[in-house]
Amino acid sequence: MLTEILRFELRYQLRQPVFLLAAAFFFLSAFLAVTTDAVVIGGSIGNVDRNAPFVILQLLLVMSLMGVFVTTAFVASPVLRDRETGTHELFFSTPIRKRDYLVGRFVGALAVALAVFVPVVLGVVLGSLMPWLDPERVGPFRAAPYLQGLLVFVVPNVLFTGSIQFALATVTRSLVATYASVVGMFVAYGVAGNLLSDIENETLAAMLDPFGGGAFGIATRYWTVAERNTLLLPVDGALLANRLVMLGLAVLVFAVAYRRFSFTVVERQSLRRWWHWWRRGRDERSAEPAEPGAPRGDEGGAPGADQSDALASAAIPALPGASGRVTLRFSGLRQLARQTRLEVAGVVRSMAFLVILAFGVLNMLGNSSMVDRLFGTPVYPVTHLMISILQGGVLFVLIIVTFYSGELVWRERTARVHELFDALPVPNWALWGAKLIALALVVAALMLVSMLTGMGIQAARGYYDFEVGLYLRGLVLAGGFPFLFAAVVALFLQVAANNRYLGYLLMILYFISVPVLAAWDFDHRLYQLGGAPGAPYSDMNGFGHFVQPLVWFSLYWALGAGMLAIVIHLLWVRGVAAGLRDRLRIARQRFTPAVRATAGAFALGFAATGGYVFYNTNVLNEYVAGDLREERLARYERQYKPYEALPQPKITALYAEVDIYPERRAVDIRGRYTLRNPNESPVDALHLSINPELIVRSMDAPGLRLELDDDTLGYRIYDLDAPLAPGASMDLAFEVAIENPGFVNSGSNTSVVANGTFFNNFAYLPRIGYSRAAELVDPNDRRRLGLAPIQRMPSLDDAAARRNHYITPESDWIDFETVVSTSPDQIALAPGYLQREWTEGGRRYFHYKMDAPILGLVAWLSADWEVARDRWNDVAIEVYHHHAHTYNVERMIDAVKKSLDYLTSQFSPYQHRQIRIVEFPRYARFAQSLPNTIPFSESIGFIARLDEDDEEAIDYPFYVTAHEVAHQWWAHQVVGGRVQGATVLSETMSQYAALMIMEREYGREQMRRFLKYELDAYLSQRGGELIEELPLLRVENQGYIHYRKGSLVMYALRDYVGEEALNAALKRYVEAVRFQEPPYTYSREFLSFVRQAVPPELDYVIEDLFETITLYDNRLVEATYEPAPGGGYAVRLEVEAKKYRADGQGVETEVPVDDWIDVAVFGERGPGASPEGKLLALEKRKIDAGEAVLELVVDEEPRRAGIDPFTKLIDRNPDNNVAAVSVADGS
Amino acid sequence: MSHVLTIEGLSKTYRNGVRALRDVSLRIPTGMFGLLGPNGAGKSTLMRTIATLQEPDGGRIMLGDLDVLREKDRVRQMLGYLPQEFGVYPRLSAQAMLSHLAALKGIPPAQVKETVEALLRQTNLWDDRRKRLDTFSGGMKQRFGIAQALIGDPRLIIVDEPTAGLDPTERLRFHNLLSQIGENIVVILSTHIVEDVSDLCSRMAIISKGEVLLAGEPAEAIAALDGRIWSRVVSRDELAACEREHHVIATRLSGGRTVIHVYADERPEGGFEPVRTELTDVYFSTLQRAGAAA
Repeated sequence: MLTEILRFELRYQLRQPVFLLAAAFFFLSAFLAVTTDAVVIGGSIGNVDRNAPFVILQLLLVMSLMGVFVTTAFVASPVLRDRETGTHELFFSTPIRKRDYLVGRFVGALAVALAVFVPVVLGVVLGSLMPWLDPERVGPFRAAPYLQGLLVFVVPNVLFTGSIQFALATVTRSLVATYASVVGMFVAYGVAGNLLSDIENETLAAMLDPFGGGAFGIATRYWTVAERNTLLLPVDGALLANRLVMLGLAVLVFAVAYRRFSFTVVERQSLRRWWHWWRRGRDERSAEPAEPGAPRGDEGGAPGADQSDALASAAIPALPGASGRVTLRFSGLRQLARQTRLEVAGVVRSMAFLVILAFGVLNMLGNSSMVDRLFGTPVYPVTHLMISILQGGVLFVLIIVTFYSGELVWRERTARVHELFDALPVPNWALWGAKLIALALVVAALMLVSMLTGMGIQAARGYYDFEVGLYLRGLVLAGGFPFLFAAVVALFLQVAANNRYLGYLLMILYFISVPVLAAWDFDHRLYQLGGAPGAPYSDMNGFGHFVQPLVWFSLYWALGAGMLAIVIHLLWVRGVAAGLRDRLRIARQRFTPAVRATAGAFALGFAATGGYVFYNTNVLNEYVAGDLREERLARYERQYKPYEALPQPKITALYAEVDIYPERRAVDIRGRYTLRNPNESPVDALHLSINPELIVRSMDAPGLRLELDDDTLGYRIYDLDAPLAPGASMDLAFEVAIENPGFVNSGSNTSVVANGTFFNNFAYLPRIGYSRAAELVDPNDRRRLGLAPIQRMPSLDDAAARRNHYITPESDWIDFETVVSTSPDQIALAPGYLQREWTEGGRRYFHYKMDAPILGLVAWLSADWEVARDRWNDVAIEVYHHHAHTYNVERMIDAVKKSLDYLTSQFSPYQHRQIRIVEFPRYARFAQSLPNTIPFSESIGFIARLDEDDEEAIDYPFYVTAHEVAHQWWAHQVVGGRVQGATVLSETMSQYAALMIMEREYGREQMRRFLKYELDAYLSQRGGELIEELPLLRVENQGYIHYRKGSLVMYALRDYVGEEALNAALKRYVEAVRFQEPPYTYSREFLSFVRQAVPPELDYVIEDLFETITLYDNRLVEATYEPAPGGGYAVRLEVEAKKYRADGQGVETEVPVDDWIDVAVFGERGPGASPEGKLLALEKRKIDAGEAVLELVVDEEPRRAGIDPFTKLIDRNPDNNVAAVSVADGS
Repeated sequence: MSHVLTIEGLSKTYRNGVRALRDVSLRIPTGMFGLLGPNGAGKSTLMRTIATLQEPDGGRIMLGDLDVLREKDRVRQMLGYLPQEFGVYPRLSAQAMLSHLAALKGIPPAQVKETVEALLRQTNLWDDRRKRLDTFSGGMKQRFGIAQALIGDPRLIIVDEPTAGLDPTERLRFHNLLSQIGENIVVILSTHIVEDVSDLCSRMAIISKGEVLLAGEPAEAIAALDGRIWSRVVSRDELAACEREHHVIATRLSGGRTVIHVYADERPEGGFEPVRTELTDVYFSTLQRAGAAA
């Protein structure tokens, strides 16, 4: 019997269109993910093979996530199908055993759900055989990763989600309840993903994610490219625990459902009733009288009570209708209102709706702690961040919209009242309109709940600035429209497909179509269904210029939705669901003049707004599709790179008059370069690279003749009538402008905005010669576009390349002067000292001038700032900040002072008399050190929340400030030539200085916490390397190396040789190279100074830290202690040390250990102690074998001990370095 | 304005090839009209088509001068429809549901309450008005169904197999209810139970396999067969022989014995007794003739 039920289930489901479509969809997704870059699922980037084990595992994981929707269809439907069609009474009255029925159905459904993943495997296997693939990126076929992915992710996830859905469907008989569980799973998944962004939350995140994604992320986060291409997943630790817990839950949930299930015919229940029923318990329930009969006409058997009065029907009042007293009034609007009330009540009164709202609250709560967090430090819960959490939960809202659309469309048919309703004199639009409104109200309720939760979160964190207006604007602008559009599409698909699950599947296709189209470079929002640009919010600039395109695109698609609504109207099923032929015939009937007129109005409006949008995006502005943009970059490189080696003059002075018009986002620049020919041959042609966004008004110099003008790619060649002789100078005057008319399709200019303009000379001034800045980096893109492999940096041995510093080849040190004007309510800033400020013609002018040559990197800024001022000795400190962002201004000033203290005392004097920190909008998240001026994004410190009593929080505003101030030395005094390792001299050294300044302020314990983040960032970002990882000495502007690894390296070096010795060597180096003329210094020279501080026995340290990629795996095997003969305690540590060298792809080779490594013993925990406990002993011991036994004597009773406890060495597995100490045997 | 319903050449073939209606033409005047036919005869298809819920492949339906197939909205404004099978919304009381339907049917808000009360009383559901519909028995549900069909003075009432599955008491009750519906409107009752028609209807049609076999007044039809129906008790062994020799239109059991009715112009040999012709005989003989012809 069991096998018969199972077979029936399989036969039935495998023939359903849902299965076939799902299978096709899964096959295609997998196939496209492997064969194209359009579908990015598995994470095959850079040198990671398209069919790497890591890619296959991730792909199966992601597909198993999407599979949840499919599982719902397969698992919930066999349970609900019988009830909906009324077949259950047939089944229940047969002598089937409960076990056979339930298990048969369940196993059958699961088998079908699993069968959907066969096409995924096929898609990947077939995909990797396709001849057009780049053979360099296809690895050998291995069955193991597929098997592992299936066993570790697919099967447990299908079992888990399937059993929960089966159980809910079985017990509640409510599809909505089943969906609610899906929503819950995705909320948990989303929260887990967010938690993962902080290393402190790993375990929680790993256990919370029901799909195992969190655990997968943790298990693979440090995988290098080589490991991604070869390794299988180690199924242990958090991953194993997660999988076992989920499997256990699956079994448990199924067991409970099994016990609760009974064959009695119970009417469809609401969750609420089900809850009562549950609480009453089984025994009591079985003693109750039979539940009322099912509502079926042919069920027969009226209860006796009815019969007694059945015949007593003599006195019957007259029918009110027949008497003609009532005049019927047909008002579609009133009917719509009535019908809406019913629909809304139907939604709102169900327990499932409350559960979904609760998930909305959970989504906010769960994600609120992680939003914008940096180094584990939270930010103030400002309103726009609360809104961004909701926006981050888009998926969650869309799932709800999708599910409810099906629920609402099928409501009458599920309850079998459709024939009653469909024969009513209610216009079609009132029927579907009511459903649309109900759907919109579901979304609105969710938004409202999210908003209230957001306010609750704010209040709970002591933030009482409730910006209700901003909430509403944010939710409407950024949330409301896309969700409403999705609601119309969902409704349309349900109506058009006329099959609930098919509708769901089509909806998923729709969701996926947008990113896929974009990835295929069909990225104009005029044809991306519902495409509307985002509107990022900045406290400084509000929603700014993003509102206009958002409103226009929204209007455009709202009218598009109107046309869809017309189709809904025409296709709306009324009466008996008929075939396509009948539906079309009915649609023709319904296409009445009124409907035609409405459709025409929508179409006209759609076309008109579309035209206006097109005028803005494609006429006023240039629209370039994604692939064409890349193609242009490639063309620029192909055509003009040959000129790179051409001798060009260098800029020695820049004077610029810059007029900023914030209100219309425009800038006029009239500038003058003084150019000097540093070469040994004359320059007879001037090559300029000009940002294609710029309007060039004039370019003027004596004897200048335009030879080539490539407007599209932005390149000009001017012949010089009189070649510029070696050593000679000339002036080049130019007039350029930036205008931002109307709005663009995407990538709108965020540099010139209403409040918070910030642009630099590289972006908006003509550049001398070929510019490498725009070269494509991804080797796969380059191969595709026929470009040779990129040389990110010339080799360390390339002496000629050091004729230029790494910031730009256009200049060495320049004189700088500028007059910048802006609106009267704003301040305009640029590097240099303010000479004069005046108002003229309703505009505010500022004249800045530098008193000494500076690096040729300057910027102009304009905003309505408040200014905080302070002094350090003779240096003026100014912080230009948004008026509300006062939280950390004092902290920043303090950081500037302490940085100046440290840097001037340790290295050299400060070259300027002033230092300014200038806030700019959060469209970009960085701070940048320009001469005496530090633009600083509002998102990396201005709203960081550092409570006095939170000693653990990392003060990153302080850190960022210290880093940027240090750049005034390490970049603006010492600058490396353009060869490998150049950024060691700027970024790594600024990191080092910031660490030291921070350590003085906050102590070593803080540094350990900070360095944990640095270690994690370095190890996890290595895997994202596109070309190859290099040793620090040869770093090619790779952030994870020069910042993250740089911190670790310099901190370890300081630990080995001492701060004093190291800084003395660095000071000598600074003195030797500061403000030097070409050739510039390089990392090898730097290292030669550093070596002076390193004793010979530590020479190997330099090799490990700078010259190679060295990693450790240190571990405490066992630690015991006994009382020492001379008092105190003798601690015996058995340690294991392993050392590896990695190549550029992350292939590791073990090398012998002969290193000085920290060993430590900790005592009681307590105030002032490190988290491990009070530090009783910390020594560097020479460990010259893989395994070693060491002894230390301490005064107090030891609790824990370990090797390299503070992870000064780069250790991929730092958690096993320290462990508890036990009493030695026999003592 | 006369509200005669005329059906002309209506046909419908389902996608699976079943021909539910074959060139059906009927003229249905005001009063109770019985549509009699076995299961699967096409009754529901016809009823749904008249009730604007289904599209025919061809043909025309006119209610007075109203084209039913085109002007669905106007038809719905004067339609009361009780589907053959309907469910209910969970968690909704009879009163609430009826009020909702009344509002949708155009009863002005001020009169909804009154109308609903009258209908509930008329269908004897007043005492159960607060009960949830999903707890109603089959009979109560059918009465609710007729209550909702009567809302708003419909000019055309369609009740599709309303008595299927009802016990005799409930059926009687239901007949009483239907019999009060005014004579001036078109009421179409489809059923496979002959008594429904003979009890209630002034006119009728017999339909089978999508074809109208007979249309007219029941009395006329009975009169046409009068004196031609003969009955006899037969033993099991004789049955086969009788069926060979005579035109047997019905075989039924009475007190455990088999009674056959045969059609013949004159009394057949072998102990046949004349019986009073009933509509059942008309029904079976009509069906049989059609079956023989097919």
